[in-house]
Amino acid sequence: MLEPVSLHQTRFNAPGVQPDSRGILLGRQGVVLLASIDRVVGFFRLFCDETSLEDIHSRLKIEQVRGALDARQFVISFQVGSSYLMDRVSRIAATVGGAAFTGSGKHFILYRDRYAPLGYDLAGLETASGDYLLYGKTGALSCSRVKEIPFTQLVLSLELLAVPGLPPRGVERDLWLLVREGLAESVLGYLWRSAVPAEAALVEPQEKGSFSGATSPKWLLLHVPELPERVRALFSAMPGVEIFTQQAPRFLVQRGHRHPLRLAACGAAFGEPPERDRTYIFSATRKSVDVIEGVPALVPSGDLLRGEQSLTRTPVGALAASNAALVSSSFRPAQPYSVAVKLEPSQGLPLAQVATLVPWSQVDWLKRLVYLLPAPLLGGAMVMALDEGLFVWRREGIEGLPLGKLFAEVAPRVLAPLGFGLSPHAPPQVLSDYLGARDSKLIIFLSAMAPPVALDETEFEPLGRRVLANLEVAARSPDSRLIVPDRSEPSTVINDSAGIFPLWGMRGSKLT
Amino acid sequence: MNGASWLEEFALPLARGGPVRVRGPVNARALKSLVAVDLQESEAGRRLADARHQTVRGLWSSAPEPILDEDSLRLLAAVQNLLFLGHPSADSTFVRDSTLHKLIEFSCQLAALPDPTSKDELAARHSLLLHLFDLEREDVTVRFWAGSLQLKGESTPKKPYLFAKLRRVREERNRVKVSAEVAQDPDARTLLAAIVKASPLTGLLWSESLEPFFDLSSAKWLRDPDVARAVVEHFSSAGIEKIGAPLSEAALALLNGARPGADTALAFVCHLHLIEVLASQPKLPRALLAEQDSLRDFFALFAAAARLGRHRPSDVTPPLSKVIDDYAVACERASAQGRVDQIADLVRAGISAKEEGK
Repeated sequence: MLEPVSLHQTRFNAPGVQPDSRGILLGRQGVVLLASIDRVVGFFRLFCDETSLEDIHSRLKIEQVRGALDARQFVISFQVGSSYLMDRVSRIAATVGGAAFTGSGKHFILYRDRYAPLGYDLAGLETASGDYLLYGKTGALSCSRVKEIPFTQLVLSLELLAVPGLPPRGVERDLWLLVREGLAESVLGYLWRSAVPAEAALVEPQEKGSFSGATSPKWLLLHVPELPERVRALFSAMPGVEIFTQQAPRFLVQRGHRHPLRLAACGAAFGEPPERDRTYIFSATRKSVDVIEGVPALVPSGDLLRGEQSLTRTPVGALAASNAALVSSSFRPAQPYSVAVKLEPSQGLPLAQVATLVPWSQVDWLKRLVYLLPAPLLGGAMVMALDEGLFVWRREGIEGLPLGKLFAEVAPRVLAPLGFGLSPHAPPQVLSDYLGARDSKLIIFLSAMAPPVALDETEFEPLGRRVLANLEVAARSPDSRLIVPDRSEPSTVINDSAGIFPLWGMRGSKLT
Repeated sequence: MNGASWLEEFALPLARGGPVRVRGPVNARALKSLVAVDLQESEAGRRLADARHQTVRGLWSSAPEPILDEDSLRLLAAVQNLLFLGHPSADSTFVRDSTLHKLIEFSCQLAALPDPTSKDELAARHSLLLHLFDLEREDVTVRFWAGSLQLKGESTPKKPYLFAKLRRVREERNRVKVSAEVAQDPDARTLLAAIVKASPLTGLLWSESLEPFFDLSSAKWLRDPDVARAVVEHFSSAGIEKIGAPLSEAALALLNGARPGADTALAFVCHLHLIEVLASQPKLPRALLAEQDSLRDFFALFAAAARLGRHRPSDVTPPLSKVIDDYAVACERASAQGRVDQIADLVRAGISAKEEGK
């Protein structure tokens, strides 16, 4: 059935396979055959512990198949990039009691082992029906597909494992709390009174289905950078409050537990929409996974407290009464309390100039000046056309461009004319958040009187590219005076008819 | 046999690239008729001469235009007969095995040419066989409900494709390297070896395709700087990864029997190493070995030559000599100690046998 591949063998009976640079026979796809779903989990557990799923994510499929004897088995198929990857897959498959195959289409042959270091070839193709024909040492196994199990579904359906040992003591960092909506105000108040900084968002998990009952409950999701042990112990024992750790971006797992797979390695499987835009919360207490659309927009937790709560510090003795009042009140966003932010002449030291607004009347000067600008300045500068002129911005400073109206960065991503600052004198990050200078947004105060405008950083273009005019590039062909050899065509043998007796006259052939 | 059309459809594509049409084999009578006509002056003969001239000038610029003499025709006839062995007619009912053996025997006689007398003759013979080792053939298998039809490089007839959907016709195309297929058959391999012996430069330039039958017995030609330069250029473009293993194996075979040309082969291997050392980004032995273990003997040969002081010209001065010596140390570290000892003994024995012969 199988024949070991020999060194420098060039022809193979197995379709869709060829030797790689090491001479190992490899098909476009790899297949792992496993007997049960727990072995499938075991395979992915070992694979994700060793490396990232990105290696095999391309065209990854997990399928339940039915063999000739009606036995249900599982097939993992994926695209193979190299024999090194296939070696790893084969080793892991053997560890969990499976076998690795390579090939393409529906024909897959056993991957190499110590008896055939370059792999196996087929003695002859089988013609059995089925979606997979797996050629092993003892015969060919024909399998028909029963159903496909998406990898994401497998990840989300696995139960969390408790991490053995005592939980760490002292302050624990970067924890997340999931609080029932009814407890939200109490928890927020408690954290505020305990001087524990946090960010919060009200989240609504996806509904499980039309018959899952009424609308899903809302939760308050809190990100706590540092949670003292005393508070943590209280929340751990409190019904309606769950503590989570982030095991990978967008994956929260209940504290004291871990997912059977290393979630950081599974990012590739969740990299396509709609999974890419979701946050997954694995709860061991409720044995469920809450899926939240998008990444929660967190705001400082103090902003969600009722006005009087945030402005006055409650005496310790009045805590119980205050909490009772808060529990009874319904959760609602904080009352707006705002102080207008405005520009005023700055009294402090002048800040570094990072941008300039060149009026349209001076744009020709800018074009001429470009020839004199040093390469690093030209390289880092970005430009956007506005009604008022060309807005040139460079993060590292724009001192080398003595044109137009200069701007300084008065808060992160907030630019104001040179000599002006923001009032009130709140921390720069707070002002920046307040003005909405997030992601790729840049807030510009074009003048002290006008309201600020928001520019999208992605719409800026490099200054160098913007000012370069189109240049006609003429194509040239080589001069015929230098003789160059013909580009030879591929050499192909074509066998024409040689007649019925092609060797007629050969018997008497002799060189004279 | 029409000589002009044979040149146009067989010899010219073999020398320049393109579809090489193979019909029946060339027997003694056909060869006689080819030799009798002055093919050199025909239109196809002129074009073949141009193609060959371009090839030889690519090897060394002073090479003159090759002429289409009897030796050239004999070599081409031998190649045609070699390719006929892969022709479907060779398997037909009307072809006896004994006649086929007669054909191989006759073709070996055709290829048994005297050694080239000059490097220009060497290049001229190679120019005829330029594409012998990259010849491919497209095999088509047409399967239908009642059976299948295999076409080896033949034009596909329309009949098997009729009512394709109804008869469930499936087509599978496969490109086959002709030289590799020929090397599978022991008789055909004998003929291929005879052809390569008649054109030693082809054998040297296509050493990676001839593995594991590559033979360095024509290494004496490497003493000529032009030939050595052409071969080194080819090897460098092919890469040490590809060429190192067959070359070191062939050199060791020569050293093992203390055969003529062993010292030239060793010097040539060392020369290739020196070219690698002088490259702008030399590849370190250990890094190469991590990718390809079969290069171990290639580095062990240089390390063994370094032990005997034969790894570089004696007039190389510092700092270059130090760079080369450091490279030799790296080769020794990358190779197995016992293997370097073995090869050093072989080289020593080869040198002493040569001195005794003197």
